[in-house]
Amino acid sequence: MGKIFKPNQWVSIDEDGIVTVTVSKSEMGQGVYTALTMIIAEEMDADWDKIKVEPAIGGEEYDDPVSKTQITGGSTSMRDMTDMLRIAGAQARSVLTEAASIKLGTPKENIVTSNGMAIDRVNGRKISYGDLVDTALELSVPSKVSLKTVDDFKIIGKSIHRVDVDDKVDGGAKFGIDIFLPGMLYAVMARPNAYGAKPLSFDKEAALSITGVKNVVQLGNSIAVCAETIGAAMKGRDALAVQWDKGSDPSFDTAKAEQEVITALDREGSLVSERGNFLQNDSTHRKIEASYFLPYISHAQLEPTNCTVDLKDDQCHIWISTQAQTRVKDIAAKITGLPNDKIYVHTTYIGGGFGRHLEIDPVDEALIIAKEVKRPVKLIWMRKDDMLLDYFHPANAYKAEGWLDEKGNLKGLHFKLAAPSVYKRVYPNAFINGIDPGATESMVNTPYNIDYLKIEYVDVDTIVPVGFWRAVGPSRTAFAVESFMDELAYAMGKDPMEFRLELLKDNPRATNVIKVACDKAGWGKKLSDGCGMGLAFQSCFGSLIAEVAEVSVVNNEIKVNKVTCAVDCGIAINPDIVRAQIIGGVIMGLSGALKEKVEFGNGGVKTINFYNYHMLRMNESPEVEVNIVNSGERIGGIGETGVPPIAPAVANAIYNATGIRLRELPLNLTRK
Amino acid sequence: MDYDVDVEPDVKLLWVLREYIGLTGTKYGCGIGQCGACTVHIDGQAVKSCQVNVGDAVGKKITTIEGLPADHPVKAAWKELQVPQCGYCQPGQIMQAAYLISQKPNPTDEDIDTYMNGNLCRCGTYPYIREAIKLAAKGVRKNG
Repeated sequence: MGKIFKPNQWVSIDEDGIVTVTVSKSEMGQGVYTALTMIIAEEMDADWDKIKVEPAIGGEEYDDPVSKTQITGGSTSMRDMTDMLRIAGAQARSVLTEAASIKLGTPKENIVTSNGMAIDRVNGRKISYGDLVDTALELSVPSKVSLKTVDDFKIIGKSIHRVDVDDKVDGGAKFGIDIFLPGMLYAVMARPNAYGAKPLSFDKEAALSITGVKNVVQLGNSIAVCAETIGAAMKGRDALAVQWDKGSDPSFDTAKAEQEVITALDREGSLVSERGNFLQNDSTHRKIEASYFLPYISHAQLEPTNCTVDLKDDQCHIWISTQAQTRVKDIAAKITGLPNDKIYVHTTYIGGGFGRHLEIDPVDEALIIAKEVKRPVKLIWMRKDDMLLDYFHPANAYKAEGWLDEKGNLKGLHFKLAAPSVYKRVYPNAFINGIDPGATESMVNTPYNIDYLKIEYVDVDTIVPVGFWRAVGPSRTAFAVESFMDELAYAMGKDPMEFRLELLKDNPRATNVIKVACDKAGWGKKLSDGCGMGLAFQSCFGSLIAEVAEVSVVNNEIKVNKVTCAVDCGIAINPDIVRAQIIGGVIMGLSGALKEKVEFGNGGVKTINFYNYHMLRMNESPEVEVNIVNSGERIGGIGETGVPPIAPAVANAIYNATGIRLRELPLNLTRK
Repeated sequence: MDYDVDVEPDVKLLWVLREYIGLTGTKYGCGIGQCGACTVHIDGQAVKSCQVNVGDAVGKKITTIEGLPADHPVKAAWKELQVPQCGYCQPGQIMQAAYLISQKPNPTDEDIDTYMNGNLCRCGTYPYIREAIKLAAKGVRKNG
């Protein structure tokens, strides 16, 4: 093995000139392996064709600098990592430049770098990065470096093909579920449908009598069957013939799940924010009121949850599709008793993250089983397990009030939101005064310039587990805010676009995204009968986005024909990736808007597979156009940004087409 | 390639391909034929392998994503248009799309809807899949 120059934890170069970039963020299709690597490659003038990307396995040196933990979420990867990775790449370039000046016998000022080569710009002599490794190893890495200016960018801003696509097309890409370890046992679980249900009896011997079944392990209220083949594990699970009790609330059903949230609006809320002055009893003002409801929805990521572990006496290796490596290590350390630096988390490609894999539930199951069976364990959740044990996007009930003066100016807005809190479980220190800080995001800090804005939140206690679902608070608040903005506009006979632009007069970026989206969509053009256009806008994840949905309604069937988007994310590192993420967010958000709803019954989840949990398919997928607005402002996130506006844009388009205002998801004109 | 596998005949072909033979390109998504991630070709037909008992697949010609040629027009179109995001559903999408093109060399949007409706994509790449199918079909028609 030859020499390797590694100036920092992010990049190394070998004597063949191969540049290995270590990425601390998880690749779940949002393109981080590529975009983060582009940052380093740019600043170090690397040869893109000689770049390899590896997921990080390590400690605090891979923590996100803002959240101080290794985690991927909140559309923060580029925002949090760019500055640090620019410095990392520049450090490499700085040392390579110095090494070249030594090897070429020329002053540093004469050296320029380009495409993996250091060049003496006076006499044209060149030397490759690979040939500089041995000299570079003798030099110290500077902490102060100079960065490129935007004008010098050769890689950033280009739609470079992603580093993971070829493997994903050829079928060689490894997800968590694709890992094999010698001597491993498969673990498949028997679980109850009802929350809190305990096993009354099960036939352990029948399971053990299946050829290949080696162990039956009870974990709390679930039972793991461990076998040498997946076929035997599944047969063993069936052979258990578990009898379950009725669970903690056998009568819990969809109606109860929804009423819990809706009736919570009648309770006193916690004041989240109140700004401006307003005389609520001013009788010259016209009051508009509306209520909105969004049901629980599932993550339903296509790769079902899984975890493969190899637990030895002195170390533990975990292969997992995870968004939260530090959390995985912490729980593993707790269960195994090993120190954190003896826990190795091997991050695989994630077959759909969406916030589901911020949770680390398969890890403790796999490790408890491994401790018992004393062999490596590959734990695979069946689809039913995944649907039963999801931490759902919380149901949200809103009450909205708006006051308009006689000229149709919006004088005040009041939103009250009732929803079970995700933060209460996940970040309890941030759950203060009964307020979930994530739930009202993008509503609290809406850029609309309104004289008076009051927001209240009511927490809801429920047996339903809730978690982070792509776009979290903003994807919920968008439906209430942007539907209501349209209701206000129409109440005063104003064009919904003009109504919004009035309230964003002093915000050129917001004004611009709305105008671009509307212009490209043909806002205001004459549409045929039964067709309508709807607009929604949001500031979220450090970016601004506007979406215009064009729908046609025939026999109460809603068809979304086209969605036109404009997004301002400051600077688009890789425009094709930005475009793909916005389109993906729109389609996923549209699935939530038109199709999805968790149903409960007999004390637990009823929607346990895709025959009764419906998601958008090819035939309902519209054309989506994305216009990237390059404002050159501070970089914003895009992984989740496409999601929030689509539901209200479609609801607004349906109103425009039919005069019918739908205030509940999934949007449906046939329901009574 | 012929494979001899020691497995009971009622284990689903999907699991045998993946966990017994080690061809992990074919994916498990739902186990009930509703998501299409497990799509393979059996004697030229696209089939959801989670619905096939391995015993019924004995002696048949099975093509998985790994077996589709590297220069297959569908694979080429998928790469050119950068279709996959998380990528988990894509082997199934590609196998289904390859079958579609073999049946409909000039697919309309309706053909694409009909053939691809059994393949879920949670990341929302449907617009890319549609474009790539048309591109791949054009490539096939051009090259005869």
